[in-house]
Amino acid sequence: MKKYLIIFKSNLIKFLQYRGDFLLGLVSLVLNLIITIFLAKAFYENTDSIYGYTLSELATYTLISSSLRALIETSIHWALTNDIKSGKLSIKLTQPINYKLFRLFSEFARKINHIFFTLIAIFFIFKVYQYNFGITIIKYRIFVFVIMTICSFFINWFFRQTLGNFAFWMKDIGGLSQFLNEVVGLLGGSWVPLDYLKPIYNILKLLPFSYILYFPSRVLIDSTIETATIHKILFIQFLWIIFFCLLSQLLWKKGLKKYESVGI
Amino acid sequence: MKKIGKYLKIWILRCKMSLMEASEYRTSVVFYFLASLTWSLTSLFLRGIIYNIVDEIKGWTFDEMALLIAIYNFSFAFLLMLSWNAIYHHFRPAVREGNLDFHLTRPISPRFMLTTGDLDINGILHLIPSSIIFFYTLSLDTISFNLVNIILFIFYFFIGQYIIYSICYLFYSIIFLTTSADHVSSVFWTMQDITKHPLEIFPNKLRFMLLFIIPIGFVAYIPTKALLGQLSYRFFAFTIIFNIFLVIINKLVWEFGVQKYESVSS
Repeated sequence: MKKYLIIFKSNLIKFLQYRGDFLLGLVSLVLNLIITIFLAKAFYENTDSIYGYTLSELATYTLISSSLRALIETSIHWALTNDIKSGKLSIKLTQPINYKLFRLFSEFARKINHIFFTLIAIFFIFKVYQYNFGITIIKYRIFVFVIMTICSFFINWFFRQTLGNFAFWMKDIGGLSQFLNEVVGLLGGSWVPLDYLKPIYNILKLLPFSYILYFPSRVLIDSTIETATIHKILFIQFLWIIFFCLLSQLLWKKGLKKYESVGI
Repeated sequence: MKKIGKYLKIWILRCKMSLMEASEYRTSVVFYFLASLTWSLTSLFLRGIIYNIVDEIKGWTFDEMALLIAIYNFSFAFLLMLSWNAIYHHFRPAVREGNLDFHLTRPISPRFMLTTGDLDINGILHLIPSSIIFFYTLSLDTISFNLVNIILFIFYFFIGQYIIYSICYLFYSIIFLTTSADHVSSVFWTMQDITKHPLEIFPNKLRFMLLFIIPIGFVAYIPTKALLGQLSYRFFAFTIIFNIFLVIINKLVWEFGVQKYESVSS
């Protein structure tokens, strides 16, 4: 465990060097949410409700889901792909460390480094949204939301890891990654709440993507969601974590047999 | 004229090489196309969902909005094809890793080599969904325009392309001053994304800024307005003056950047 803490510490120092760069990334989150304010206001100019969402509810959903996305985003698939493509994976495999844990602790360091600034940005935008839309969240569910956020992170982490493993066969996963981003964005409620896609809502509930953003965001907004339903969501999130963890492990083992260790 | 021919020849050669490189990853190319198709059609589909409830958004009907999305997609495809790839994959790393020297010593404009060319396969693929949406909107009875509008549209579209190239290049020029410019991408793409929305949704001051200070509105909004015949002619003169100004700024920023450049990897 000590060696992973050292990896964590060294990565923390490394990411601190690039905090200015990261702050620029936050600017885009803030900009996106500001654009959404104007867009949403334009949508609601001649109507009070769109698919059951008032302007205030839609704004709350957008704010929470965007913030959640910023908190759980990861680039493990790119790191994995780069290591496979360049052949650097060989060096890491010969070191006395578990490669996956090495990547996880590096990610923790990156997250710890980013989370402080991200939360400040979210707080600032929350105030702007509160002023513009009078948004409200269910405060006593914040703790459950934090747990769901952690679960969302791990679903996303193992899902992206699974995706990265495809580099053993495809060498370049850029296209696949971009395609899945679009699919996950739409089917996971990243762009609009899934209630907007009523005809296929029941199918979307069966997919893992809705448990990354949509359900955790709804829990913080929708007071009609019962405690039993929250427990069910948490349980399903847990099942998806196990599913993607096993799938990723399976692909990793198969991929390593295929791995030729030649950089391209 | 001979110089232009030489640069054109180099540009075509580099485009050919990029395509050859992309063809190495054929499976990925298929997924890039699917991603492109999903992305373009989804943006139209999501607008359609809203237009099921409302008749117009800030004076824009669904058909006009579809035209704006089509033109936005075209501009996105051209940006990928003409400049993004070179700026992101060559200019940025060259400054960061200290390889700019190699380009500075070559008998060809380093700015040309590092910020243009490198045809991105994504851009070519993106032309397909863009064309689907564009021809769909052209088939609609509610959308009509005359020859003058078409000429103005083509003029503004390519002006918009130069503006988005300049914004992209100027954004990444920050690398001359900082050690990393990775997150500049997200700010740049957020800015670029603005142009797929009608500028009427923004308050007047912000709209003015998006047209005359960071003129991102010229990328898709202004060409769409020109095609719909809803654009004032005063924009024409402004556009020409502004572009001359941009050419000078781009040159000055390059010269300033090269002076600042320390040739050390970071």
